[in-house]
Order: sequence, then C-alpha cells, then structure tokens
Amino acid sequence: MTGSPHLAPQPPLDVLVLQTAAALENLAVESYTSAAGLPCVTRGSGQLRALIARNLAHHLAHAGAFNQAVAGAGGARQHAADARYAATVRRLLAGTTDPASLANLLTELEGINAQTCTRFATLAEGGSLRSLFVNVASVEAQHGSELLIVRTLLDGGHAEPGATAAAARAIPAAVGTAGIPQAAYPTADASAIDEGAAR
Amino acid sequence: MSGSRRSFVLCAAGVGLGFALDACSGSGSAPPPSPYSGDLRTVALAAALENQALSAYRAVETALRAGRFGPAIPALATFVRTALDHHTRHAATWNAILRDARKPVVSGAPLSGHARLMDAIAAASSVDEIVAAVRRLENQAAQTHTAAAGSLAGPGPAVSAAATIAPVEAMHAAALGYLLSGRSGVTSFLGTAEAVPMTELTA
Repeated sequence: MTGSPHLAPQPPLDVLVLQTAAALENLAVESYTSAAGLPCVTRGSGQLRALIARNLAHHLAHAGAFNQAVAGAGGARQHAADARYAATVRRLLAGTTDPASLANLLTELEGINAQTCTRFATLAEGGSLRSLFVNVASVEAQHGSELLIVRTLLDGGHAEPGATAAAARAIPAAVGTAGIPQAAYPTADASAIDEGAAR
Repeated sequence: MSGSRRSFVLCAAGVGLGFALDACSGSGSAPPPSPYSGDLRTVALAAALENQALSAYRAVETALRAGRFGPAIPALATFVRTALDHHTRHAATWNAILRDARKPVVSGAPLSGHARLMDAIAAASSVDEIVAAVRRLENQAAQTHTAAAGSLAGPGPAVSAAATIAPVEAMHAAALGYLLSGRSGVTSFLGTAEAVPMTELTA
C-alpha cells in the first residue's frame, strides 16, 4: 500500500480526442435543434432557417463519423453533449430573441468545434484521423464564415445576400471580409483532450 | 507539367529508368531532379498552390479595377485584398518549412494546370465566372491540405500548417459563394476528391 490514490488507466489519446469531438458535435446538434424552434427563426428569414437546418444535418453527420471512429479505436461512443458548455449554451439559447444574437452564439459554438478539431489534428498519430479532423474543422469553419456574414449584415441592418449582380454590389465593403477573419485558423479556444471523455 | 519534364517522364517510362537516363541525357532537355522528396514534396506542392492563388487573385483584382465586369463590387474588392494577404502568409509558412529543411523555396506556381487556370480567369466574361474560378482553386487548396494532413509522416510543423491553413481556404470558398450568390456550397464533409495530385507539381 503506497497511499497514492488508485487511478483507472487512461484511454488512448485517439479515443479521448474522438469522444471529446463527438461530445462537441452532440452539443451542436442539440443547440441547432433548439435554435430551429426559436420564434426568431420560425418567423424569420428563410435563408437563416435553411442555414440552421443544413448545419444541424452536418453536425449529425460529424457526430456519427467521430463515434464510428471511436468505436473503431476500441472506445465507447459518446452520445452526451459536452458538459463544459451545455448548461451555459442552453441558458443562452432560452433567452435568445433575435437572429443577430443567435448568429453570434452559433458562431461561437462553431469556433469552439473547429478550433478543437484543428488542435486535435495536430496531436493525432494516425493519418486518417488527422485528415478527418481537418476535414470536419474546415466545414465548421465554413459554417462560422457564413454565420459571421449573416451577423454582420444583420448588425448593419442590411439585406441578406442575393443571387443577382445588383445584390452583390449592394453589399457594403466591410462585409467582404467578415467571413474570413484569420489568416491561420486559431486553436486557443480548443477543448482539452479529455473534456468529453465517456464516463 | 512543363514540356521538358514531360519528355523526361515519357522517356523514362518508355525504356526503363537506367537506360532512359542515358538516352535522354544527350538531348539537353532533361530538367534537374526535383529538390523535393517525401514530406517536403507535399510541402512544396502546398507552397505552389498558395503562389497560384496569389497569381489568380492579382488577376481578379486587376480585372475589377479595370471595370471589366461593370460597376464596382465593394465587398468583392475587400475580399480579394484580404485573401491576397492570407495567401501571402500561407506561402510564407510553407516556404519556411522548406527553408528550415535547407531546400529551395517555391517561387511562382510550378503546376501543370497553372496556365489553364490563368487563361480561364483572363477569359471570364462575368463576375460569376471569375468567382467560380477562384472558388474552385480555394476548394482545391483546402482539400489538398486536408489530404496532406493525412499523408504527412507525423505531427510536426507541416501537419500544423495543413491543419491551420485548410480551414481558412475552406472559409474563403464558402464566403465567396455566400456573399456573391446568396447560396451556400458547404457540404457535410470537405472531402479530398478535388485535391491536387502530386503529379501536378513540376518543380
């Protein structure tokens, strides 16, 4: 007896990062599902409704991909939403009454997911796992890009992008860079590797 | 692929490498062997794609300034300036990896499809056409970097570059489409089907 606490063996790195990525995707699925039912969305623009429905479908696919990979790596699938953020996001969503605030919150969520996947891509040992993380990080970053454009247009009281050349010419210059804020994708807000570990 | 390099490959493929080196050396057309191999060839391809993006965006900027597509499009003009800044930084990141490995940096766009891309931009007769051309190259760059993250030997500066640059190229593609058409081309997975193959690199 050494007096030190008995510690359960830590799962392999690949299992931990996949479970955490799945937990964040589950949070995104839950959040977009709630967002789709908000009055500011159901009574709002068709373009925002379409973005929310499409992003929800993408996050479902990402959660499935991460859980399939974690099962392949010998770990338990993660079906719960990320515990670090879930309560805060639920509270914020419940109080959201306008599309700009909603776009802001969803942009933050997408940023956390994308930064986490970017960071995990630099840690993973296997090539297929690295590629999966970069693949998903890029899609989350694209979601964030479009939401940033939506938010900037809403903040300025401008119409959503249109399909005609005249509509494109009416978009203010500042909106042209709203969706591409960084030259290198950051990782400062990435989650810890074991944040979403299945308990 | 440049004519001289194509000649070398055809020569080597036709008669066997050892004999081909002899047979081809007398013509004076064989290029020097590539200074890049293994992971550094992946890095060189990425640097070439960034330089290609710079050439493409400069051509777009020139066309916009000349009013080739009618009245100004302020949002596209600011987008192009920022994208140029981003791709300049990306090229510097990839070339720093080559420099640290004591390999020559990639200047210009030594890619077999480069002239075709520039021709398409020069021939574009509408904003839609020119935007489609640069969106395609952004998607190709993002997918090439995604594939690179999987093919590189292991964690290190090249994987970090691929992981932090691919999402930015993907954002360029998404933002361009959404801003100028109101339609999103984002799909559930980026994929790698449009990744530029290593055989396109002519350096």
